Amino acid sequence: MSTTTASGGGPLAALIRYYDRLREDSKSGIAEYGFSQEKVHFAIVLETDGSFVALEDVRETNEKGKPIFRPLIVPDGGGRSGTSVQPNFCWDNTGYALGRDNKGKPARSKELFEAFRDLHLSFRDELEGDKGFAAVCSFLEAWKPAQAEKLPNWEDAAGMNVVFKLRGKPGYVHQSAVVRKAWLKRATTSKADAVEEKDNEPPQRGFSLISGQVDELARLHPLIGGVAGANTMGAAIVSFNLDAFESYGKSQSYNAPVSVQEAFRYTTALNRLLSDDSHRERIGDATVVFWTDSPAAEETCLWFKSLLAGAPQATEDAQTVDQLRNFLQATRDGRLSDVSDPQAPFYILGLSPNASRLNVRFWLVATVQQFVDRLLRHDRELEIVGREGEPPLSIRRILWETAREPKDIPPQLAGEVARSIFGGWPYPQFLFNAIVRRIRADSELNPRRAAVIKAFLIRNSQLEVPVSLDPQHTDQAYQLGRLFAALEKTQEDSTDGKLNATIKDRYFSAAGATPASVFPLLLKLHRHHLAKLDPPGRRINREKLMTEIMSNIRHFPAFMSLEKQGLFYIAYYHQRQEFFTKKETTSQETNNE
Amino acid sequence: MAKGIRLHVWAEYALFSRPEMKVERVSYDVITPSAARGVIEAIHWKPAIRWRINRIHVLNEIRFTSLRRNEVASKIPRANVAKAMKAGRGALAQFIEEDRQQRAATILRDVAYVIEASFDIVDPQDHPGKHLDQFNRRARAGNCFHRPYLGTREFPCHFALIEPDEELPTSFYTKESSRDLGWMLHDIDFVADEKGGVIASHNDQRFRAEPRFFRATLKHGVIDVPALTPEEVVA
Repeated sequence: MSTTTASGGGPLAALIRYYDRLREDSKSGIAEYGFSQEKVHFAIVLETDGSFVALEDVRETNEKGKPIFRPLIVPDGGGRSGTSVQPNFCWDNTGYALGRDNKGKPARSKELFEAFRDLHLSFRDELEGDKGFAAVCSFLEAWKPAQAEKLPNWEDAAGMNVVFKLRGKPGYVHQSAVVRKAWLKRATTSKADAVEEKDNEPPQRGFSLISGQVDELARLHPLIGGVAGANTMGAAIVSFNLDAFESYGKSQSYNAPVSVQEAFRYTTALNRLLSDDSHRERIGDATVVFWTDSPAAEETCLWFKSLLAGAPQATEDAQTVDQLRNFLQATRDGRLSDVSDPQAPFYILGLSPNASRLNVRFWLVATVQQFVDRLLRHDRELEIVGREGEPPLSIRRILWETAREPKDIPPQLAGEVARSIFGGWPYPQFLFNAIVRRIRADSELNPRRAAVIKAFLIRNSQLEVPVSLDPQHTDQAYQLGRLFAALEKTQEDSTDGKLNATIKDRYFSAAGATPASVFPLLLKLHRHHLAKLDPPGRRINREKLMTEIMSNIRHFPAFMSLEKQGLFYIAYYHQRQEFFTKKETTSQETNNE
Repeated sequence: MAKGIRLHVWAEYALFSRPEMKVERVSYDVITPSAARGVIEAIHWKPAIRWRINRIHVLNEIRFTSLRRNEVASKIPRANVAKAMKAGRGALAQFIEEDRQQRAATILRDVAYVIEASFDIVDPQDHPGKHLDQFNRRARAGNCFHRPYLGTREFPCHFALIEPDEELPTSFYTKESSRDLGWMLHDIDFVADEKGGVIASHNDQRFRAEPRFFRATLKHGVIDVPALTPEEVVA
């Protein structure tokens, strides 16, 4: 905490820093202003004179061997809505580029093609020197849409996005520096014109609250896609879609002055994070993205992901778990710098949908080291006997223990749990209440539930809770939990487990909440159970254990607080585990003999 | 300057909306100068004085939580009001049941600040000592014009005057040399503008609301707030 933390300015500023980092990395392939990444399937190959050569399949293949789109940076068309005719520059679907698609409306396709052709011809003089673009223009002038259907691979290509290229030349037409420059010039001026025409409002210049520079301000921000549950068209973090949100006589996003360039940069960076499986995960109703300012800390993202959601797929399991183990081991040994850049800022942004708007559910900034420390602390608090060798408890698994089925988990809870773990803050009280309620409802105390209760008691109530059985534990609640486990075990043993309803089914929750009203009865029952226990050696052992536990109990409280009930459950769980491990060792011994 | 005061404020929740996320609200990390001014003015303000916030001490660790609320979706149009006034009748009601919007907010919790403020006298005839005494007397007694709040009315705060010889509570961030909080809203400045969207109620004069921002840096738990002048804050 003594070092300088350079992290301020909120999520937008951090996203812009991420964009700038990717821009510097030539391999990242992030789009520049005026361009966007789109899904391209085919390329129209032309001769220099514009004659058509072929429709080349440029698709990639996925793991299953199926062809999928190739992501390419192309001139940004700004998105189309409804039935408007709005061609893209140097790329589009075949309806625009070739005048035919798979929608069966030739008249409409013809209209689209003409718009596409006219747009390109309007650039003709400006781009005379560019061979590729000249070829595209000649091609568009000569092309008859009906020819499209005769192409050999038309079935596959109909309706898909296409780009243009020259035969035998590397790269695509839109990638030429001259074409890019001409497009950018047009894009910036025409956008300003469009705004002016539509609203009679010239583009405003002003202070941008992210950079602190005076610049042209964005009236509307580009949409963000890929947040689960939001509009499929995309939604916005910064949007003023109702007039009650506006103030001081300002309209739309002028209420939140952000420059056009910055709006582009943060949305591009965020869209990229949201579409990248290694930087995104879902917790409850929130879609969480995480990233770092340092390329050296990239691996931390993987680690994060597996802690959020558990191992992704069975096939990747072994590898991910291995990576995770290495990472964990390195951090435990204090060798975090071997695998990562410990001082690099790390960001966690949780977005949840609210109709066409997005809501920042949580936003956390710290260094990689700080987050790793918090996660390790959480992991340590969860440590409990009986979970050895199992993968780390992901947030998703924890949440599953709070409800009967995943859809019953309150969406708010997921975010709060994530926030408490990442921030190193107390766990939400509701998490504890929900788990205790589940235990009461189904009398099931599995290792995961015990682990969560333990972590909660340690972090929120500062109670001392051991990992495994501590017979000397001074708390009454703890000894009562042990006592209950012992009573139940005697009943089980005396009846060979052939009971419909055990004392646990009947009295478990009552014993934890109001011990005074239950234990005297249970102790009376116990005498009967004990009498039936044979051989006598077992009976003596059990009596010894009972005496030991009872010697630690001074009285049965009439009522126990929720916290103490938690401790009661943990003790019960510990004692049960103890019985099991003992049994295993003895049976092993007999096998060896 | 003997005109300075120090006020300790604290509350369970607070929300200082970032302008870029004021629809689905997200709070700034710490109290803004304009919110601090609001707290001070709730205790004592007269047209003769103008408060300025000098320093803000951040006492507690910055922590967030989130909630959702139902709010109204639209404003009653000004034109409707003008029409109703002219005609002497008309419907100006808004029905929350028909015009609801759910909005989420990421808010701060368990906050505590010390606000250091001073004031300028607008009317040269007036005496500063009078206002200073008045503020101190009122703050000491817990008097206020309206309940002071941290950012939004839903989050009222407690306050206590820190006497001149009294020591300040320690900050969670004392050991942290510097933390950049980015550009933060300082206050709204009203500039006379014929086409402006803000109208003074008494004389129909029009203003343009200009938000002013400053670069906030938390140094050892303290933010030095620049004066609201063009040299130090940007519009």
